[in-house]
Amino acid sequence: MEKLEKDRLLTEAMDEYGHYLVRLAYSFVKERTKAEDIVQDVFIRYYINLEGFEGRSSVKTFLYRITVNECHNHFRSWAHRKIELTNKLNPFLPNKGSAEETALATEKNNEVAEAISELPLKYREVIWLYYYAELSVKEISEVLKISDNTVKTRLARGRQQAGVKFTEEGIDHA
Amino acid sequence: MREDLKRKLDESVPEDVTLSNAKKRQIMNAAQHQDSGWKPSRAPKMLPALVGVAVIGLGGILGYPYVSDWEEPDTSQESETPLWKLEESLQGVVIPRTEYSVTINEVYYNEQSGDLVYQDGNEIYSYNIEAETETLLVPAGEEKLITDVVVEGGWLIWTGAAEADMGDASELNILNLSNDETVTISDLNAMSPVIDGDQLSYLSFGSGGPSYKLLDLDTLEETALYQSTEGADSMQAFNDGLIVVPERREAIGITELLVYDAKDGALVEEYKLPSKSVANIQLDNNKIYAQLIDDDFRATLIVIDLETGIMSEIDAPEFSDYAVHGDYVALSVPEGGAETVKLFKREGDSLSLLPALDKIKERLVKPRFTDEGTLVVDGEGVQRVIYLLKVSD
Repeated sequence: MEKLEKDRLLTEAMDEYGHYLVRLAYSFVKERTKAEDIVQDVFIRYYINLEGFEGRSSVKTFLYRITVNECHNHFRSWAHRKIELTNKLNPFLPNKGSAEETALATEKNNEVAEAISELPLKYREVIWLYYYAELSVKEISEVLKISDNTVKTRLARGRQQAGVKFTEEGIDHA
Repeated sequence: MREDLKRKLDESVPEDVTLSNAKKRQIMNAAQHQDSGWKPSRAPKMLPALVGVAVIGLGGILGYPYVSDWEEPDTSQESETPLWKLEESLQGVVIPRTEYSVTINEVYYNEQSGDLVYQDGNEIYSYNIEAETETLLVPAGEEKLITDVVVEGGWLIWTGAAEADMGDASELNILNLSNDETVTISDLNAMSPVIDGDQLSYLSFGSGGPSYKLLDLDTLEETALYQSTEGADSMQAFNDGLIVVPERREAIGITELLVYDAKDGALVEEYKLPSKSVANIQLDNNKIYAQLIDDDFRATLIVIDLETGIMSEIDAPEFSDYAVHGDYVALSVPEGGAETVKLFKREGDSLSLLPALDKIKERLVKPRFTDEGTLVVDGEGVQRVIYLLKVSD
């Protein structure tokens, strides 16, 4: 593929999906710079793998798949774990807020998002992919490498669990 | 409801979190730069490298006081590899991948078996370099996320949890590669596993708080080492029968290194490093290496000789990541607006640049050495080549 054509396709993909991918990544990692770094890596991988794509649908699935996977990798990294470790140790330490806590505090203004943010990751990610990224069940199954039925089950359970929380918080979510 | 929920989710992210035009230009430049890199054939291949040594400029020296005296480090090494041998040993391996296996990230080289072991999503595979065959070691389990994978010698160990975050219900899986038997220990709440021989060091989250433990992989006997109180910026190191546990002391701005003997779990030594941010602790050849990060995020490479207890600074160029084996040091250094890995030879407290990786034009990341002395780095080009460079016999 000619370089100009690859440049055009990358520009098009960044224009169409870049904004959503950065915000999706931020919803996972709660860190602006990290979210941008993740999305940068995603688009670079897209660029160097461009010749492997045939249809527009697979591009969208590919970009979301790599983004979600990179977010999972971030959770596995020591950089993230040490924050988790510090949070676990917080009861024994002088009180001071982490960047994550600050981000979460901002989220408290949005009770629906807060309820979803408290869901287990496997439910939270399908809700973000379905409602925010507007991926179909089939596309989410490709992104997460799980079956369609598992996607549907997680969506239902995620909604149910968040719904319980909404009810507890007195929020009408239906 | 769908539109309403989309709006609410969108509102939960700060408005200015977006992909700016400046960032798009930066991505385009980086993509073009990486795409222009050298592209090897799919089959494992020996690569020639230029021979020659260039001495690089050396970085500044920190001026703060150290707990131990600073002296010239010992320059003795196990076995020196001539440059022509380095040249001959460089090998590029491409793991066959499809569009849906581009998410492979961590690749481990098991030198004893000649396998590359890697996680792809929720599955773990091995790829034998000589036979060019891929084997599925751990099939997908939809309800558990694989959070950590380590492989060394005859053991493959991974942790599974319902959450990628530190959950309360993670399990530890131990696969004995010699007989394909897997033992699963539930509710161990383990993270950061490190194998050395037939022992495993890990950080456990029990009711008493985070604590470092040791597990005998043959008998599954557990030994408690240390209960963490403040955490640290590095995971523990475990090699040659010694475990180094870091513990930050925020109030006095230092990090303690606690050295344990894996034979009996006894604390054998303590060191205090003059930084509360100490990353990437490594143990090699009876020496502790670590990366001290200052307030401006500049890294300083230090070494502690466990025989003498003397701590030294290694004059290194600006770097963000490193790996060490004997007198060989691999650094991730800035190059052309990005970063790549360069190999250096340590002579006293100085580093001399070796040209062994110069033939590779693509960006290199994630330097690590095997215990046997092979440098492993990931290529960031089209085919995601894994480069292997044997630095010692």
